[in-house]
Order: sequence, then C-alpha cells, then structure tokens
Amino acid sequence: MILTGYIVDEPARDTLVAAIDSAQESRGRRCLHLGAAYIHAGASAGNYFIGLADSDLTQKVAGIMLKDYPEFQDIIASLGGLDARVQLDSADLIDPNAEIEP
Amino acid sequence: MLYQYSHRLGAYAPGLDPDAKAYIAAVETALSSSISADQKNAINTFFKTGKSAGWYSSIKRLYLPIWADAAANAIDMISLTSGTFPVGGVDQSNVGYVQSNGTTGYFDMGVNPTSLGLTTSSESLFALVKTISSTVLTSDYLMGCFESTSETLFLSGNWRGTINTTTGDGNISNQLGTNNNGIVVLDREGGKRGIYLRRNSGLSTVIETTSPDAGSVPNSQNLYAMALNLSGTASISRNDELGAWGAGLGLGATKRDSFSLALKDLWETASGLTLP
Repeated sequence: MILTGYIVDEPARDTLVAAIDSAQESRGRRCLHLGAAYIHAGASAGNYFIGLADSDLTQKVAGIMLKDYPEFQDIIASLGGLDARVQLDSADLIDPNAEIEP
Repeated sequence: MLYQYSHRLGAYAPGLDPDAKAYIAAVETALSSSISADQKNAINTFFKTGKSAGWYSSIKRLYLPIWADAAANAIDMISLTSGTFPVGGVDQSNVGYVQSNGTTGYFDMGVNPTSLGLTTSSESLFALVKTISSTVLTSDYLMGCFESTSETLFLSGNWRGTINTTTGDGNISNQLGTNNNGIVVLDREGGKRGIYLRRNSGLSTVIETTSPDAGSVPNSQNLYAMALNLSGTASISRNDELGAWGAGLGLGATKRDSFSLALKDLWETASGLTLP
C-alpha cells in the first residue's frame, strides 16, 4: 500500500507531535496524530512517517476539519506545504524483528 | 400548542441516568453541537439496562466511534477518558463506524488490562464489526495486547481468541467463513472461555471450552483496537469497519446475552444502521 505524508527525523517528529498535541490539548481533548510510524526499511529507514492523505484533511476533530485548524496551516507550512508530501511503501513500516504469535 | 408540547418533550430527555448524561455531555462538548433526542434516549437506555441487568460494572472500557469526529469517537463511555488514534490512518468520516487503512491506523485505549481489573478468571474483549476485514488470517489482529507467550490477551482472525497463554489452554480458534461480522465477544468467566457472536439473527457460540486459569493478564502494555499491541509496537493488518469496542471483566452467558443485545440496540438506534 502506498501512503502519503511526511518523512521526518526524530527531533522534527518530537516538535511536530508536541505542536499537534498542544493544539488539541488546548481545546480539551488530545486524540489524533500524536505519534509517528517508525520507518524500518527502504531509503528512509531510521526516520519517521507522519501520514497525511487527502482524506485526512477533511477529518473532523472536535467539530472542525483538520485543515481548518489555524495551527494546521502553520504546521504544514513548516513542512513545506501539502505539495511537499511524499509517498511511502507501507511495507517499509513493518518491523522485520517483530515476533508475531501464531 | 400540542405540537409545541410534543416538540419540547422530543428535545428534552427527563430522567437521564447520570452516567449517560455525563457521556452525552462529553460527546456534545467534543462535537461542539448537540446530538439528537433519539441518540440521547438510546444512550440512556443502554446505561439503565446495564445497571438493572447487572453487567454495567463489568464493562471497564467501551468506545462508540459513531460520531464522524475523532475527538468524540475517542471518548470512553465508562470513564470519560480519551484514547488516541496515534498515527492517523483511520477513516472517521462516517456516521456509525470507523475504519483503519490496515497499515498505520489503530486506537490506543491508554490502559492495560490489569489496570482495568481484569483477572485470569474474569476478562473480556468485545467489538462491533459492521463489515469484516478483507484479510482474516489468524495473525490479523482485531484488538488486544501481548507481553509474552504467557501474558497476552487478544482477538484475531474471524474468529480466534488468545487468553493469557499461547499454550493449548489459552488458544481458542475457530476460523469460520467470511460472513462473521457482528458483535464479537471474547469472554472468560465461570470456568469457561469462548468466543461468541451476536448478529441480527441472535447470539451464538463460535467456540467454547473450559480450562484452568493459565498464564497472566498483561500489565504493562496498553490495549489497542484495530491492531495488536505487540510489546509496544502496533501490529496492524485489518481494515474492519468498527462501530464499537471495549474490554471488561468476564460476563458469563446471561450478562453476555443482555450486554450484546443492549449494544446492538444502542448502535442501531444511534447510528441508523443495522447490525448484520
């Protein structure tokens, strides 16, 4: 599966997650996009993936679409805008060492 | 005058159970708007039924993600705390259900089973599956957590349950066909453990057996929905459409019957959808 979003390093991830958390916490409930998926394989291995598909932009959080949050515009601008999103093969997010129970 | 009187009664729901009232208020605050009188009454009936039937205190977490809003969907009906959708990837645009993309989307209840009071003789997981995932292997996890081979609790496949140990005592497996959506309950109570399924046609036993209380209840990994919490990493591979999920103490036959029926009625009335 091909995913759309941003690839960031760990410090950038921490900054972004804190900003997203603050925007939600200030409104009373933190619930969405408070983490990032670790990239295990591929050219971006070792970095983090923050998904932001087009369908995510119109998801509602506390009655407001994600894209309509004032903080959202600032966060996206800091990442280079929506056009700066990249695509990632979801297989790169799978931990090859995970011991799955049969 | 009669119209005004009936309209007033329709918008006002007197005699709300206090816990129902609190949940309604939390949802309306999250939505920044009111929910309908029918939805309020359905929620009220659910709580009142639970308390009169004796299963309410057994339910420790119950999420009703029917609101097409991430904040409202994340609210636990029982504790009013919020879980999280940590990495997005969950379609929350639909009234009545949410759906993971099967790759990154999952829900963290923010609590481990031991903290909820679950024990090796009394524990349950449950979910309302509107449409079952397109993948239904035993290793496709619906919900739960794993800490070690003797400390695990999860639902997977369609359906399979693992309670506390992966030895023969702990696994319950019955891989059915593809049309096994509905309210699935993994339940250990009264010396029995099993998987049960409520569909529109009624409640049935998928598989049931007796066993000693082997293994331990996980105590350090949070319960996830739409994934397994595999020692801190989300194992995600399903894209079921889910209308509810939660965890609690063991229910047993009578409470399980009443709870699953009440959940069906709540979901159908509040969402306008019909349980398969």
